[in-house]
Amino acid sequence: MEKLLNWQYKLGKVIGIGAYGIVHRGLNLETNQIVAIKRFYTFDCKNGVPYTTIREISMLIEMYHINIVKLLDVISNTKNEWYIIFEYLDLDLEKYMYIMHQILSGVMYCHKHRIMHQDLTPDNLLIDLNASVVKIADFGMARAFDFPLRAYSPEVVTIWYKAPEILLGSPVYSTAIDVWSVGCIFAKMLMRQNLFAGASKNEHLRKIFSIMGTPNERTWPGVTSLPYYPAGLPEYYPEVISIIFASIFFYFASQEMLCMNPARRISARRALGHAYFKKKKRKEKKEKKMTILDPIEKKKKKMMMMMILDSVSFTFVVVVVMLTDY
Amino acid sequence: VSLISKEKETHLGQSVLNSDESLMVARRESVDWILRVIAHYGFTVLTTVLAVNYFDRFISSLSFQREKPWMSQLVAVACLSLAAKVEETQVPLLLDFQVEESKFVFEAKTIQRMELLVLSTLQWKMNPVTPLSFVDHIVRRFGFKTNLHLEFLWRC
Repeated sequence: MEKLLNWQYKLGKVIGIGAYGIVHRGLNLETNQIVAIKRFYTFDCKNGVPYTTIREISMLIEMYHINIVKLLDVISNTKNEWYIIFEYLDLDLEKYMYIMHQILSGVMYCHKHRIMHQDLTPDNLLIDLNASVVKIADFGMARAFDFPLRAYSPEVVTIWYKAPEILLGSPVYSTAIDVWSVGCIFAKMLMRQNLFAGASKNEHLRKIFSIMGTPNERTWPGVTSLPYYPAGLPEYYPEVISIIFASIFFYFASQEMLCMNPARRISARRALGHAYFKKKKRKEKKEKKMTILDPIEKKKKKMMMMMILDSVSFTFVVVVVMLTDY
Repeated sequence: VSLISKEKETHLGQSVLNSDESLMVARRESVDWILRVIAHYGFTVLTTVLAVNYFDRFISSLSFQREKPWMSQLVAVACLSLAAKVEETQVPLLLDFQVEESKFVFEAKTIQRMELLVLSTLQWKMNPVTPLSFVDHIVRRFGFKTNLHLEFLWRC
């Protein structure tokens, strides 16, 4: 901790460097709370305040959800340097395997509040290790979708998590692009490597097609007339993904979240209602009912439920470890 | 229902603006100018709605110093560039916004400072619920299979 910022915050060591600013660890001197402080690079005068900054702050300032990173404050110092204060979180995703539910809840919350994230990647998901809570961060690419976007800016979404409709140059895209990214993240979590990883856009598309099958007019009406639909592609048939994933949940993920046709792709809300998550929910509901009927037993039942949930997630992790090691 | 309650947070009653004659004149001039620039660059209708929304919210706040004649022009430039950055994919440089017989021309640095003042005055709430939010919400309910309604909206 070296620099004092605005009387209220102390600036600590650098914990991350992004394209648009540097993130420091910091301390709120009033509450003794550890925070993350994102410092903007000095603004380029020609363009004024960067659009990523405007979008990120304006989106986050109106969102309050446990699975979205919390923006605490926006401050400036006397030298007209601007800082955003976030809650501090540990940055590690790969260790945690049963966080899909949280990611999906966060995504669904965004979609419900008419916000598309557009840049969901493992780097943008943060974890609070103590509470095992996942939070979605980095809304620099996000936008409100009151209005369909005409021209598409190709920088949006790191290529490995980009949905095929974007790669093919579809003039319209929707919240389905976030679901595709989540599907890719789930696959990566299980396999410890990217499911689709092409160096260029075309190679990436070929990789997607070789696993998911080449889309045609039957599976995705209108696909062949999209601007970047590559001509003369071999007709790939969908691989039996279940062999790759070998897990019911990931079978579901690949079949529905990684559905090529955005119109048929599952929504975040429906994915949350999927059988895999329903089991969990039913347990929670049951638990609630019980507590209403029998308030004294509340704690006991809750503990039992926690144990059941823990054992479920434990077996899940075991399966995953076995899979990744063979 | 949540749209309506959210709209109230960032919506101004006409009365605030109507009560002041000189403010109304300044507003009319600025809005006219904003509309001309938007036509010049071919921005979408949502950009227009946002720019005017920011402008109205800012001039009815305490940060707005009405004595200075160039003030409303500077605010208009800043609001327009903010709206474009929130909504458009291609955004011109700050200096290039000052087309269509802009009465005063400001340095980029000045505009940037005004952008920051507008952002902090509006508490960074740059995605208000607009009439278009309701149109979008209702059209979605129809559940059209084609993208016809999107094409219609683009032509607005």
